[in-house]
This record gives sequence, C-alpha cells and structure tokens, in this order.
Amino acid sequence: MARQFFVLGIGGTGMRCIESLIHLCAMGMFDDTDIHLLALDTDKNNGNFSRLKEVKDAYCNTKGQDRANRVALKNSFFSANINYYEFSPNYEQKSTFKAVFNYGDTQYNHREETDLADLVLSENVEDFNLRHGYRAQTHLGSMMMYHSILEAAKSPANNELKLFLSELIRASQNGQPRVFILGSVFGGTGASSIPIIPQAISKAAEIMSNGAANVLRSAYFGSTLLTAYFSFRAPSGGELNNQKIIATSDKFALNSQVAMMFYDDDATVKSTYQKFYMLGTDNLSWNPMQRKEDTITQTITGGEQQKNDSHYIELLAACAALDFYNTDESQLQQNKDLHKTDYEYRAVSESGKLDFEDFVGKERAKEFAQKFGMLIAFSLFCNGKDDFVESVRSGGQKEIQEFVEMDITQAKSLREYFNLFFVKQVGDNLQEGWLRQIHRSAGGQDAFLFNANLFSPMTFKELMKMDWNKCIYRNEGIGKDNTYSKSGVLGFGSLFDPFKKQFIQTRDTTKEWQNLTNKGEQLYKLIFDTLAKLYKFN
Amino acid sequence: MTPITNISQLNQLMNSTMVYAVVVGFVALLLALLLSNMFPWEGGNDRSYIKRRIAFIVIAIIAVLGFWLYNDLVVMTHIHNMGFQNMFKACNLKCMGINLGVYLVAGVALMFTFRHSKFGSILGKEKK
Repeated sequence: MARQFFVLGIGGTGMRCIESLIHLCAMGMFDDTDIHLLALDTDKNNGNFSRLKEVKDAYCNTKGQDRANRVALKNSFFSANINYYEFSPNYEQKSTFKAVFNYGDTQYNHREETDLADLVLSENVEDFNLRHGYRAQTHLGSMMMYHSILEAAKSPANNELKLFLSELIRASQNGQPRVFILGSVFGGTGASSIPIIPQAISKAAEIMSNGAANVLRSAYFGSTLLTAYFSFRAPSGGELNNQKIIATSDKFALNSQVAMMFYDDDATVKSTYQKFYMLGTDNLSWNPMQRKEDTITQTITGGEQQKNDSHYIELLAACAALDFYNTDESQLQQNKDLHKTDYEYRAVSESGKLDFEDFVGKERAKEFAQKFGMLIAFSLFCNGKDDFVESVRSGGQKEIQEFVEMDITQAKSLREYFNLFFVKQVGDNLQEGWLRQIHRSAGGQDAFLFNANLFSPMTFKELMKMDWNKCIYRNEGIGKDNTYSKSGVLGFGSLFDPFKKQFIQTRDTTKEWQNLTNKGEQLYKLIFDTLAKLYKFN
Repeated sequence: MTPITNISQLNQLMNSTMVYAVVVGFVALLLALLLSNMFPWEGGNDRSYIKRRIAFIVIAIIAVLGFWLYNDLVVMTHIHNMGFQNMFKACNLKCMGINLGVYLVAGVALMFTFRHSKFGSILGKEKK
C-alpha cells in the first residue's frame, strides 16, 4: 500500500513551493506515495494560486481524469498520486478584521475585547482589506488563520479542508502520518500560519472526530523556515494611504530575523515540530516580476496580477519536504518524545554553482540527477509537431500501436504540463516555464544543475536543433557520462531515432509496464525505462 | 569472357547466370537492409517507413533491371549464334524472375521475422 504524506503550502511562497513539489512528483521522486496537498491562501484570486492549479490539473489529468482510478506508482514519471485540496478563508463579505469580528457591536457588548484588540493591533491593521492576505501582519494573521480553520471544521457545509482533515484523521488513527508545511517566514499568510498550523489542524481534527483524533500526538511535523529571498517595487505615498497596510520588501530581512529568533526560542513551536529546514539566499536581488516590470505601475499586493516567477529556493523547499518524508522514523519519534526540533541547513559552494547534492544530499544526488534530466528529455520529445506521446496515441507511430486507446486528455494534459514545466511554444518563440525561471533565478549559464546550452535557445527552431542527447548535463560532475549518440545517417544524425529504437526494444523485453492498467501510465513507464537505458542510467 | 560457341558452354553460362541471379537478389536485399537502417525513425506522424519502402522498391528495380541489362548488353555480345542468343534471352528473363523472387520472398520473410525493426516497418502498420 502506498505511503501517505501530508503537505500544506501556505501563502504565495507556499504555492510556488507546492508547484516545485509537484514537479518533483512528476520526476518520480515520490515513488509509491499518496500525497495530500493542501493549498492554503487568503487570496484565492492570487496569480500564483491559479498557476498552481494549472500545474496540479495538468499533473492529475496526465495521470488520468478519473480521480478514483489514480494510483501511486514506482519508477516512473508522475509516480505520486496527488490529492489536491484548497482552502481560503472567506473575506468576500467581511473583508477587514473589524468586520470579521463584528467590532462595532462588540465595542458596546464586550468593550474589554475590543480594547484588547486595539492594544495589539493598530487602526490601519484593523481596517485593511484581508482579501490580499495578511500583508506581513503576522500577529493578526496567526489569530485569523487559526479561527478560519476552526470555523471551517465546525461548518456544516462540506469544504476541501474537511476532506483533507478526514484523510489526516484516518492516517493518524492508523499510524503516524507526516505533515510538512511549506511557506515563508517573512511575508504574511505563510509567516502567520506556520506557528499555529499544527495546533489549528489538530484542534480542527478533534472537532471533526468528536475528540477521537489527536493529530498533534500522533503526527510528525516539519516545516521550512524560508527567509527573505526577493524584493519588489516600493509603494508610493498615495498607494500607502489608499491601501493602509502594504507589505514592503525592505522589511523582509528584518521580518526574517525576528521570525528566526522566535522559532529558536518558542517552546510551543519546538514541542510541535520535529524538524525545521532553514533556507535563504545571501541577497534579495531577485525580482519575481522582472518579466512584467515594464507593465507594472504600482505595488502588487495580491490578486491575479501577483504571479511571481519561480525561484530555485522553492525547489530547495520542496526537496526539504522530500528529506522530511524520507527521514528515519526513530529520529522523528525521538525528537517528539524529547520535545526537540532539528534545525537543518546546508551551505552551497562559494562559486555559486548549484549541484544536485545541494538539493537532495549526496545519497540521493544521482537519483535526482537521473530523474530530473530524464523529465527534461521527456519534455523535449513531446514538443511541437513531433510530440511523441501524441503521435503514439493517434497511431502516428506504426510500430507502436499499444497505446492508441490512451485518453486524449492525458496527452493534452501532458503537453500542458510540459509547457508549464520547461517552455511553451508561442509562435516561433519560447515562453518561460518553471525550469527556465529557476535557472534564471540561480544566475543563468551553468549555475543551475544542468548544461547552459539547455537554456540558451530563444526560438523553437533553436530548441529543436539543440543536441539534448549530449547537453542536458554539465560536462563535469554527475551526469557528464550520461549521454547518447545520434543515429540514422540519412537523417544527418537523429535524436529521435535511437530513442524509438530503445523504446521498441524496452517494450518488447520488459513486462513491468504491462502490470499497469492505465494506457497513459503504461506509456510514461515505458518512456521512463527507455530514457534510463538511453542515457545509460541502468 | 570466353565466347560461347557450343551448347555445353551455353548451358554452363545459363546455370551460372541463374546462380548469379540468386546472389544478386541477396546482395540487393542486404543493400536494402542497410539502407533502411540508415533512414531514422521520425517523431510525430512517422512517415519514414515510406522512405524505406521506396528505397526497397528502387533497389529491387535497379538490381533486376541492372542484372538483366548487364546480361543483355554485355554477356549477350559473347554469344554469336542467334539461336543461342534467343535461349540466353529466355534464361535472362527467367533470371529476372529468380532475382525478383529471391529479393521479394526473402525480403518479406525478413520483414515479418523482424517486424519491429526498421526493415519490418516497410510492411506498414502493425496489428495490435
């Protein structure tokens, strides 16, 4: 039976970390796992939230449209079975602190309560619009998020948070589930929620199970402590007056510092979390909206326009989740018993070059390199008119007729997934996907894991001319020997020819793929095995 | 080449021509096999099997016609007797059949034997 893993992504950064986690799942880094992903954000119209949904939809539909038939697999692309849930506190009707807590009436009925609120919250904080998140006001955010979660658990209406909690209750009654929280400590929603989430979901589970479940006692908790890594345009005086409260990036470093002091000191947090992963960059020069800089005239506080580019640190955060998932249970239990929290960190080379082991450690570096590189190769074989999966599905490959019954939406979703993963063809130009964004965030060239040539094509034609048989990996380190030669003399050396030859050979000599029932998944498994042999990983 | 002046020489020539027809058929087949492997598989709607099919047919035509023409234009000049020439012409036609037969029968047998190979793809769509 597949292992269960519960992951919560909170706030804008949390959304992007989940996005990276989904890409790890697509590589096959979470084999044989049912992942329950809860996306938690106050701003449900946020651009990052909508991009996450696109990635999630593409991933899930690539596995198959029928949710009930989706299962976790081993040694294949898209191996993890992702169950996605989302929850946003409803600030549509009541959009300020005062409105949510009925400040007007309370002032007359329970004056001491409003006095207490006034003591810890400034007037601007009580009055700003919550639809775009907690805007770095963590003292307000923690309280509001905690209550939103409990309210949702008490609500007679069904919501996705309750579905997530039901799974967590079931898992905690049958064992010791692992819960990992992805979010930043310097912003609003994530920073507000990380300290209170274990208590909040535990209390909510207790409400839902009438006291039968004690998630806090049975589950292991881990989280990222993601410090400031980007900055954005400072708001003008007019914008400040208008919005009352705006999170400004000049305070991010200070916010991070204070948050780290809190996490180092707070006994409650230490007794609930078994592991923290401290992540950060040495500067805040990353501009997540760089590509849209020319069109931005004001500070984006949230909403559709807030669609920040991805950064490699979000992949590091996702890898932290992977590490937590693979941590020895005895170590977590020992920490739990002793109310001790491990603080994990890793320094990267001064050269600024990121290596596979920087993300997953020495033990898993080769596996990570293999699966990441193979997913890139897979995406390149599914590009443009030469889309291999679509051609196999539509019977365009005469020698491969086993997959013509594959669901067309699987092939379409796979294409959509690869558009989001690597690049999307727009006319003859290329639109950046997640991988290109994180490559840029790492400083470009060969600073990020792979060969610089992989990222240099600017047009679709250039991309298709690229020799991805030889230039996926760098010329040194892991992957330098994982190449293959072109074949087919009359085609002046074809990249596709050896791939198809190997595919046919793998199909005819292996049986594992036949054990799967879903045609699409059979095909992905075969492509996974084919690429592993082609790039000499076996 | 020795001029053909008697019936025993002619019979010997016709026998060896038939053997050569078989050899040429196999050589042509080998050439078609090599050439078909040089055409790479194509992504998308793979039409590379058509190129291989054309190559297979062209090689067949060249081998058969070439062998027939060689016999007709080169070997025939060494036969001076008109009757013998007619006998050799008939043999040459038979050789054409042998050449083509060997090429096609052995070729198709090979295609079915190695159905998943490039050479096998000349047959077209595979049944599931």
